[in-house]
Amino acid sequence: MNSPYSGLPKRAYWRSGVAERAPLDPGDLYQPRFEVGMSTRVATAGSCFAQHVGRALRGAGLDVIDAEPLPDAVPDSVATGFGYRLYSARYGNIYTARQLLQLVREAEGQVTPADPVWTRDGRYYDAQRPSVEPGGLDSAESVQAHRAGHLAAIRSILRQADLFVFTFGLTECWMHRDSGTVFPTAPGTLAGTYDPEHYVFKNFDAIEVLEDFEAFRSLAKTINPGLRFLVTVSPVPLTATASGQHVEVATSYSKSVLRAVTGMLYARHEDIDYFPSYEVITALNTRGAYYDANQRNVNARGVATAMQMFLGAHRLDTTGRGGAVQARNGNFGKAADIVCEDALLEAFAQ
Amino acid sequence: MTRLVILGNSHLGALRAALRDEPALAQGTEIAFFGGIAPVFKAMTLGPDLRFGLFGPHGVAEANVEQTKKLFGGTSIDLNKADTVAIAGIAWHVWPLIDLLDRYAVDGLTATEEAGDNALRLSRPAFDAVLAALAEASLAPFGWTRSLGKPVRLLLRPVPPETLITEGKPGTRPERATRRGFAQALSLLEHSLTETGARLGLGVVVQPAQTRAASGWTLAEYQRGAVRLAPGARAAPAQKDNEHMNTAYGAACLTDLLTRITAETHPSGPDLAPIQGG
Repeated sequence: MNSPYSGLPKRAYWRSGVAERAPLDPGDLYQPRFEVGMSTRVATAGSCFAQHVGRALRGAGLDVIDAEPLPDAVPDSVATGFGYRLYSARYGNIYTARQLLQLVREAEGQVTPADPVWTRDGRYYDAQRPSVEPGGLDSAESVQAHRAGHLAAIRSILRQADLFVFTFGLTECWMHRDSGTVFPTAPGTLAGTYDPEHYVFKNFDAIEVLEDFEAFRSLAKTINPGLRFLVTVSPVPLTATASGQHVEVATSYSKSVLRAVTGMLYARHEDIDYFPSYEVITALNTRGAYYDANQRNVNARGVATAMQMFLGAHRLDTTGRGGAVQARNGNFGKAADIVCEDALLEAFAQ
Repeated sequence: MTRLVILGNSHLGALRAALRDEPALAQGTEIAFFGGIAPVFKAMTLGPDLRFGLFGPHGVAEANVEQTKKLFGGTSIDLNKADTVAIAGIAWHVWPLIDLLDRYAVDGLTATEEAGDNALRLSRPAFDAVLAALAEASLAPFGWTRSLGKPVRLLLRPVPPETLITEGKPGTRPERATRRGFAQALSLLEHSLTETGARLGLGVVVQPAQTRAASGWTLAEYQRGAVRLAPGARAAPAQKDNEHMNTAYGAACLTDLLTRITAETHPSGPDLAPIQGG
């Protein structure tokens, strides 16, 4: 008898691909769609898990763009406290596809976000990246001037990158009710004031996320036709949900939507590759070994496993010591060294 | 008589040459020099019995070891007899600071008209944190000096000469950094170094004020005929040496250093010269 399932590689069958795999053996989950090499100019963005991706790529010696650099002698602990060295520019975490699209449209002069400056204790914060200046700035004008330079940096990234790496993190966000402007943090968390008359909770569905990334891709390709994309889904569950559902159910929804969208993007576009960091960390044969005790934070072992899989698949240095600048990080750095604003929501728990 | 040992790298050259030219600079202090060119000095450590120099498998090329022997008569020095120690040629990240100013407009430092509309901006808190980190990185390698149990002063390297901006092409990094507040930035970094040094138990001696132009760079007159550490009384003057300064600079540094030592040794003495430098 002839069957389309006969003669498939071992990775195609659950028994040989998963059940018979040793615990913590990540298997061959990833086969690159296109090559990422030492000369590839990489831009990174996304939710906080994406910081691990950027760090690993720099550690392997890849040309990861840093459009807002600080001197090498400044330690990461100082730099990241002000939003430097986390991504290719100092935009902080970009949790949703809508936020990514909005940022690039803003950089290209197509939109102006509403409510751009938030305040706290007499200090002024960029509402689109409130964590990058922990103490705020002196005035709203200063925030706007800083943002203008930052947007110029983003424009330069889009024009020089060969590969844009984006980690999808969340579907939930807070939105300016009248304009639709989205924010990376809820007003009243780091700065600003929560006013239900002005802000509304938004939980994107798969169609919206897909359309947002498609719009981002189209715009980015207009600017830089040769640009390719590597998408991943953060395996980090939600810290809190405003959806009214149990946080575990809300997490399942959010990650399912993001995973479905990344699968659709991969299927639609030859210039988009999907890296299964989500599957590496959440795989059944790991039995939760890649999470910290709070079952949310991904531990260093999990990060290393995922990133070594990526680097190995591209025949890159998997020791994390390939880049002179990143030598200061040691291997893949500590898993706890990443900056995550959403973790602050824990403080609001009763 | 106070016994001073000055350790250091190639920047020892100007100090040594100055004292050789003008022994009276010592002001009655007994001064000994010891060190080596940068790779040699970097390999030197504090060995047993407070001897400082090359010990064990140091990895220094034999020719460089021989050069040190010729310069100082050996590869180590006994610091037991020293009352006080200074180290010359401390690197303090001036060029990273220039790069930083070239790239960023710093709040409160860079004039608005100079910054431009789309300039990258660095907030003052971030800038201060960067300066503190640079200071820490500059001084951390000298933590070992605390085990000497005697006063230690670190002499910062000279700022490059003003000829970089007065004789260079327009639009260079130094020129742009100058327009963006280099002099004030240098002063803030020196202040950060002094504070960090005090916290680490290290005395930081900044470049004498009279050797600096208002722009922050070293006055050209202190660069002409720059001296390095090399066999013989003097190395050949390096006309385009922007890292080292001449004997007049060395004399200014020695005078400043000895004035500080005297002031701290005899704080109520009636014959103190005014302390120069930052």
